[in-house]
Amino acid sequence: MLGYFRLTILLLSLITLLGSCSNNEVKEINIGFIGPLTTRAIDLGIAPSKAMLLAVEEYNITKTASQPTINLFIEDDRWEQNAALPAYNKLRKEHNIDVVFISNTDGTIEIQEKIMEDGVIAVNPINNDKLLASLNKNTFQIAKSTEEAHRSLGIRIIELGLKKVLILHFPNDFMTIAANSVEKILTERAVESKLIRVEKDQTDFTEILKNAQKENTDAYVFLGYKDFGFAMKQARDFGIEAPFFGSTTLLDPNFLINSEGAIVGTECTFFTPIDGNYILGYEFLKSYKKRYGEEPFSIWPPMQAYDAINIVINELKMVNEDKKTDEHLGDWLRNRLFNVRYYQGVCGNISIKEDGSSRGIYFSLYKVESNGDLQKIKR
Amino acid sequence: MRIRTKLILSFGVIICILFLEIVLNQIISDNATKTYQKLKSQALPALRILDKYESINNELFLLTSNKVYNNNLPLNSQNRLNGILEVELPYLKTELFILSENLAANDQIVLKYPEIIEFTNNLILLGNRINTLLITKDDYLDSNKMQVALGIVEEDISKIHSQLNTSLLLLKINYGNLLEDYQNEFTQNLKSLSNIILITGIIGILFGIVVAYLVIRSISKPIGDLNSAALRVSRGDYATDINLKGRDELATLGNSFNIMTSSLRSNFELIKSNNKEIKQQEERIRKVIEASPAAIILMDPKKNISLINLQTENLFGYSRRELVGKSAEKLIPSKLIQNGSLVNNVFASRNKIDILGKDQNFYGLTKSGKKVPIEVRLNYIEIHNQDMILASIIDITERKEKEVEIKMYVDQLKSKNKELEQFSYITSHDLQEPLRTVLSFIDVIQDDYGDKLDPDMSMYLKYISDASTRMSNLIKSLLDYSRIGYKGVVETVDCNELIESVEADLKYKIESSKAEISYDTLPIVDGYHLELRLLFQNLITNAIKFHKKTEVPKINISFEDKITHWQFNVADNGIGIPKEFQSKIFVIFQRLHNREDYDGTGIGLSHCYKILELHGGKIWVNSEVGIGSTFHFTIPKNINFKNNG
Repeated sequence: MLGYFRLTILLLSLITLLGSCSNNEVKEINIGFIGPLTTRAIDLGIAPSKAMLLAVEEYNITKTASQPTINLFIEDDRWEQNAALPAYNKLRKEHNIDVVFISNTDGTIEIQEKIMEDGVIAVNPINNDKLLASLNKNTFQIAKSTEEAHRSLGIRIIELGLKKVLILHFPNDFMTIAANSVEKILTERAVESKLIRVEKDQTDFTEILKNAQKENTDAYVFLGYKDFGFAMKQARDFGIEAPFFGSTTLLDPNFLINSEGAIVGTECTFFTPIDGNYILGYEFLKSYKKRYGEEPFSIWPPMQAYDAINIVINELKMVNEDKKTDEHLGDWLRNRLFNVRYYQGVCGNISIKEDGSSRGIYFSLYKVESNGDLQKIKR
Repeated sequence: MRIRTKLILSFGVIICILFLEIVLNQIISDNATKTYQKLKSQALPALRILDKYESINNELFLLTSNKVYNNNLPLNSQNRLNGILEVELPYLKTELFILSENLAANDQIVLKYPEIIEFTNNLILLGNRINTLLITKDDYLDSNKMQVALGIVEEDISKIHSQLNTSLLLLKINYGNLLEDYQNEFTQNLKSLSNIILITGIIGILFGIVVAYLVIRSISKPIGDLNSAALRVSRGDYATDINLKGRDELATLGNSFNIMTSSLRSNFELIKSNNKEIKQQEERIRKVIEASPAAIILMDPKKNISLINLQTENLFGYSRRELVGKSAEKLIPSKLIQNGSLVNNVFASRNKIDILGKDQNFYGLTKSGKKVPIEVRLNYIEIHNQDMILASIIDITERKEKEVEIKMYVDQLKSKNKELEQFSYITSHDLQEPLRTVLSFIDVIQDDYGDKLDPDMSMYLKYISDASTRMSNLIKSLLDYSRIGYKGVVETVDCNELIESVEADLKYKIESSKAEISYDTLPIVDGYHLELRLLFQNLITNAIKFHKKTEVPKINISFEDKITHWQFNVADNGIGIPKEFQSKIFVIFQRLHNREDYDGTGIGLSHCYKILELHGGKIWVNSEVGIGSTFHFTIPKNINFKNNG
């Protein structure tokens, strides 16, 4: 009788042990997204968050039993640098996220220390520049190259034979880098340019514009957000007919509204499905429309975000097959991401470099049409 | 050869064929798998990479050429060129590296890998140089830049492109051949596999057919013979024998069958013989039953008669035909039918024998309706596995009549005995009266005329007085004798207390004779208290009275516990009784000695005899003259209370 009892205890212990072994399997992974859902640059927050949610949903439906469930939690940073850390802390505290996607460059810098401390992987799905690439090893940028995209804007100005250029830019890292890229190529090619950093909530640009008009400025570059819509309106109101140039953010609906039509004809650096993998891009937009009932107003942010999160999901789904029991998820995922050499996404064939930046997304030049749409510029 | 051996061998060969097929299949499948793996992991990926490499190499050459020759490049093409330089070529390098890691050291790709990587790196370098040289339209107007760019395209890129293409082409040819070899090998493997399955399958099927034919043929004929023989046996032909040749199981079965039929023959003969004997036995029993002086009826559990004998016909007046198959209750008066439950009791208890009419009146009913006193003995018997009752019936009419007659005589005798006892009592009692008168008058004569009487007269009167006294004692004794058991009651008697009270009564005699009386702890018995006291008193008194003058009388009273009774022994060391008188001492008024030697009436032992007769016991004596006597008597443990009162 005692023998049977001991045998039963042994079996139960074994079952418990085996059960506890199987508990090491990762069942669920939480991902956070911090982006502008209100206030400013909402085209870089709302549509990307929807695209990421779509990708997560598609994965959760098709995943196998052994693959972890992925949850996405979204926080609004109002495109403010100082809102990034509180949003990150909230996501960590409430959802214990292992990966955070963040679209604001300043915000990405803001959470650097904390993500290293927590072992969280940060991915910027909007911007990809040298500054971001120099951040810590847990930070990745799966997006177009900021410098390269804006360099093409400078080249366009040069090709158009414009000789005096005013560059206005929003006071954040992204727009500063963009402005510097334009200025750099112009300077290299002996084109006169003036770089002005505007105030964050500035809406009156009359003085700057009047001065530029007086200086016979023949090209105006607005590297910023919706408030530059006022600047465009004010410029046209002063009778400035020189061509306008803009960044990737022109398709913020408020930008169009604030410009009251002055934005029409503005050339900008932008990205649409024909610049990437047209078939996959078209499928994505179809799924997006089916899921949310409309296509995104500005296409490139959700496309980049969709590729960025899919690259991460593509690795995370292997967690239970590849990750060692004692290996930290953040370390494991970082190493996996460093080995992404060729991901065929909606934006093209993407690879991740040793510094966490990515290559393979190349922006083109577009012009804002009178109906608010963009028309690709043929050189 | 045994069938088992045949089957084992046959299946063994088939299993061997299958095993061979499995082994060959496994080997060829392994080869096919290896070939397929090579196809999948080496040849096809290599060709895919080489194709892509070639395509990208060509595209790069075209894009760079376009960029240089066509005065600027559309932004889309420029982006594509950038993609090739930044993503596609580095990726192909990585893929090629991974592939070469999985290939043998002497593989063409492994050998060519450094060369291809060098070409690729140079192409990336040159492409980036062109990108740096030619950015805007103005750059195309710069002859220096254009000269450098043209040089890069026409000399460097073109050359490297061509070399890379050649290397890739050679590799592609090699891998194309290898792919073809693998495909041929794979096809050959599949073909071999198919052939082996086909050949072994055909061999297996043919062998199976041959084995099946041989086995079926070796089994079916003997089984057919056995079947025919079994059918003949089933029809009663026990002389059937079969002859199956060989040493297999069926031949053994045939021998067993022959043994079985032989055994059946013997058994059948034995059964026939037994049946005959049983029939003879039954006939004998029938005759015995028939010859029985008692009427015999055999009935089943439902009391239906299945057999009767002649005496039954005679007793009940029915013929056999009228009784067999009918209920036995027909032969019993309806008011006694309830006694029929005894039949059920006999069936229930089996082996039990019940008797009807022994202690109570039981009657049979004749055909004419006359009731005949009978005694019925019911015996359970089993005949042919059926429970039966054998009723043996005796007509006890004559016995009943005799019993009535005997009872009448007994009653008369009892009445006479009673009258006699009454007479003795009355006589004894009434005789005392004239004797007392005679003795009174003798006393008066002696008192009043004693001095006037001459000596003779006085002597004569003394004789008359002694004789009258003796007569009175005799009558008193007789009266006592007749009163033994009269109005007595059976009760529990402690013999120890009884002896003690007798000793108290005989204290004077005991002390004067110095008698020694000893006894064990005596039992408590059921009996008539006064009579038992008298019994012990008479025996002790006799022992004291008939002691030897030279010895002190010693009396020992002991007992023995028998199953049905107590036996008491009263032993003395007295004068003893001669053998010839030992049977007379219990007769009334028998004396063995002169009155002068030993006084007494000679009725004491008669009292003892009658007391023990009253208790249903016995008394006898063992004695030796000069040694002593031992009186033995028994008292039953269960006194028949019929005698009570």
